[in-house]
Amino acid sequence: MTTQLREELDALAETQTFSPDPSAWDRGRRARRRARVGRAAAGLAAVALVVGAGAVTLVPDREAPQPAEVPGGALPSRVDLRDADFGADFETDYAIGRASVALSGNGLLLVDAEDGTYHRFGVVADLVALSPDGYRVAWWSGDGQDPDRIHIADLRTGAVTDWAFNMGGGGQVEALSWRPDSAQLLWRGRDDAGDKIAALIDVTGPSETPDFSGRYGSRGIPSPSRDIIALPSDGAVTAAPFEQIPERGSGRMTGIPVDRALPADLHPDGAVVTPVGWADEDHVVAIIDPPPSDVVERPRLAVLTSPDRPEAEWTYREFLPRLPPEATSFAVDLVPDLTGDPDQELTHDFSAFAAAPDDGPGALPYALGGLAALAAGLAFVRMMQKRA
Amino acid sequence: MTDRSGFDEFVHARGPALARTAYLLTSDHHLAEDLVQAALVQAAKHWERIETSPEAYVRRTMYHQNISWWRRRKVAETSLESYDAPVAASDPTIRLTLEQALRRLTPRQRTVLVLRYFEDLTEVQTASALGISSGAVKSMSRDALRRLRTLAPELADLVGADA
Repeated sequence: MTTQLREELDALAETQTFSPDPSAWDRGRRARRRARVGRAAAGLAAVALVVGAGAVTLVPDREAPQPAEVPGGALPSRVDLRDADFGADFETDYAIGRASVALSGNGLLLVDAEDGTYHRFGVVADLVALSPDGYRVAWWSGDGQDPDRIHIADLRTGAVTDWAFNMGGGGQVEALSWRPDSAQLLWRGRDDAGDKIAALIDVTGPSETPDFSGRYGSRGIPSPSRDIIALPSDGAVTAAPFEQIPERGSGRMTGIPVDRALPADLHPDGAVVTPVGWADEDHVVAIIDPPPSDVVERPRLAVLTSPDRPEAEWTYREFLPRLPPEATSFAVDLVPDLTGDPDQELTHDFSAFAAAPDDGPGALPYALGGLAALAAGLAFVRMMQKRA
Repeated sequence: MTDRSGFDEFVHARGPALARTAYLLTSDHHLAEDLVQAALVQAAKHWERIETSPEAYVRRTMYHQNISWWRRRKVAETSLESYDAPVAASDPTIRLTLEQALRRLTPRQRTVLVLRYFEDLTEVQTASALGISSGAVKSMSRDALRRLRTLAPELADLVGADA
């Protein structure tokens, strides 16, 4: 069988011709030089920062500059698969600490919440869900060795739980989502008979509450108080759909559909809305994917006020634009509380260093030294760019 | 300049073979060209680190890049279930039937088949190249062959009968 198959594959492959692109070497080397220039610039910026930091430590009552790493973590200001090295070996130790973004490309990619680096794991993952606190990641694949298992990694300890979902019965998983407490994972899908089914896995037990189908929240993501559920839209919509849970004793058995208009000036043709979690009781975080146009072309994250708040309180902020389709899950606890300032940074640029604090008179010589170092660095970078 | 000549020599010697593998991975002549070029650009970028064994690096990059590209493209694609009907027997040759059926496998299934039955890698070697377990390779390989049989029953002799 294999010989015959190989012969046919050989014959098929022979239909492909090869025309070497003479620019491949130059393009690769340019990319290398750009990366080196970037690293050199970062190094020089670090030198300047150290000089600045020296000034700060010598001058009383000064705040220390913000380091490149963010203690506690932050969402990155960009998510780009080109930042991951696809030729590098996979990692095997899941104890990477807090993650900010999970991507389900080939294998599993996690973005480190504290330094913005990419971690690649060689597991097959069709569905990925990063917990709101960023310390747990769950994945499932129908292609993998264990399609009847949902895998849950604890990113603090590196321990991986292979959970035989549906009480061991397995099935087809269609969606994975975490509850706001980061301890309960909801899976939704179909059993072997094709019937819809959903269950809640408590990873701290661990235990599984089956037969979730039909209850509120088997579709969508409930708010921390479970008063309202953010639902994924069915195609492009001009208002994000929600479902309000009826009060006990109201006699109503189904949720009350409510919605929250998207800004018409930003999205006149609507957008596909996919909630990814709740930043707090009143603010949901969602992927907003407008129809392709000359103006907008890629999905982005947005934080928007829940429709159960008075309309006067509604806010809408888009951030983290140009999301690749592989970026499906985010540690929403890392979205800072909104201050109302339209310039408030909701993400962190891990490729840049924070600016040095205001100069005091005593820091002047050091600041000048830092500037001189920076100027020398820029000259060096410019020289390398010219060479490139 | 020595680096450049080493790279050119490598591309000249191994480019056609890489292109053949790329075609089986993508089932598309244009995408195959793009895949090889993208992997070669990556190889040029990291040449100092990989020049002792560039082919392994290029191949590994191709395997992963292809699936990554597919993830980007699949947003606009329809689900696989709709493709599960047998291929219409419009083409009499087994080879074209195989080509059509291969296109309907998932990229992962196709990649495993290519590595196992075209590159002649063992399950362990395939697992190592893809960074997944041998068990996953075995399972995906079995699923891929089963799917080929479903898509094109006339390929049963080629891919083996159901166990």
